[in-house]
Parts: sequence; C-alpha cells; structure tokens
Amino acid sequence: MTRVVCLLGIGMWLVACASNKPQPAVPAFDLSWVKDGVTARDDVVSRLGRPVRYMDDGRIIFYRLVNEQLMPEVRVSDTDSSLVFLFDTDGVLQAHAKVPRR
Amino acid sequence: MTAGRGVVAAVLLGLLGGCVVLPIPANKVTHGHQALTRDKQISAVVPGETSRQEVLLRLGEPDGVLDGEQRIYYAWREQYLRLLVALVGPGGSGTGDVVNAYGANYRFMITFDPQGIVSAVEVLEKADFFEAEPD
Repeated sequence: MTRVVCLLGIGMWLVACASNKPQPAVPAFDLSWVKDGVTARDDVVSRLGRPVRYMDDGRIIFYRLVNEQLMPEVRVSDTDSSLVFLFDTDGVLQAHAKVPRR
Repeated sequence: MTAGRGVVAAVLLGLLGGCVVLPIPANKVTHGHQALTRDKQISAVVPGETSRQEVLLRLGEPDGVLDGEQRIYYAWREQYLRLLVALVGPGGSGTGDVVNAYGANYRFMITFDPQGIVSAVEVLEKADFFEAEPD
C-alpha cells in the first residue's frame, strides 16, 4: 500500500513538473544590423517595410511588434513593443529604440 | 457586514434564490501601454526639459497624435474590480461567472512647444465598466 502511495506521489510530482516546463523563449527581433550614425532610412524601410506611423515629416518612423515579429496590421494598443527610428535631415539614423509596452 | 448579518443574508439568499453581484479586487493593467505604469516612466517626462525625441525613444509609438503633432498621448486601462455574477437557486445551489469589470481608461497627454520640448503633461482618467478580461 505504501509503495502504491509513493508511486502515485512521484507520478503526480512528475506530471506537475512536466506541465510547468518553461516555454522556449522567442528570439528577440534582430536589430543587430542597425547602427546609429550609419544606417540609412532607405535601408530600414527596405528591410522592415512601410512604417506604421510617421512623425516630424518622416524623420521619425515606427513599427509594431507582437511576439517579436513585425505586425503592421495590429492596433498600437495590441502591440507588445514598438520600434522607433530617428533620422537626421540627410536620412541617416540618429537613434533608435525598441520600447516594450507590456 | 458582521458575521451574523452575513449568515442571515446567506440564508435568505438560499431560501429565495436570485442574482448576486460580488466585487472581486483585481488591480491590474489590462490594455494599452502597460509598461507606462512601471519604472517611473511618467515622471521621466519633465516639462521644460524632455524633448519630443526623448519621449518617443523612451515610450515608443504614441496611441494618438493630435493638433499636428503638438500633442500626443499614451493610453492604458486599469481594472480595479471584477464583478462575479452568481445565480443562486433555492437551497443555496447555483453558478457564477465573472462577466464584467470596473476600472478606468487613462490617457497620458503630452504637449510640446514649437521647439519640440515638453510644455505640459496631464493624466486623464475616465472610470467605466468593461467586459471582463480572462485571467
């Protein structure tokens, strides 16, 4: 009887461990190619596509991410994070950021 | 409510049956720019000091742009209470479900001067009932 109880306990413990197994992390959106002071606006747009929002006459552009993937069709309120790119008047990147919203 | 009154209420409910609404504390941000409420993000935007570029790099894409980019806002929703609606039958039997929530929609409004420096900030709050979010 004791062995049965022990086996049941071990079985439940194993099930609990299996169900709590952490999900593999989603790889972060790759921005390694983006260099402030170097990357051109055209490079950003050709790689990432049409921005979802422009400000300051197009010197500031935005992209939306959900689960580390570009999601231009989702509303901004439903995004996990946003990408911000600031360019100078010559179209060279001044600064950029990936901003979490969750 | 004292324990005695609670027992009397429970007995009456059991006898009569009906619909009971029980508020359950929730206190969580459910929509919009949830990160804005953490890490002193709002207090980092200082009128007379912070530039438009600094705001956008710190807070990301705004939820809204107004007045030719002179004003922007970030929005989020906080859920204060979840409302459990319980249908109680005679004898105390019944079922319950969280169908509604009470909270508030917030807007962090930021106004810029012509030089692109923050000139004013304001947090607007509008309390309301919402459809409950799943846990």
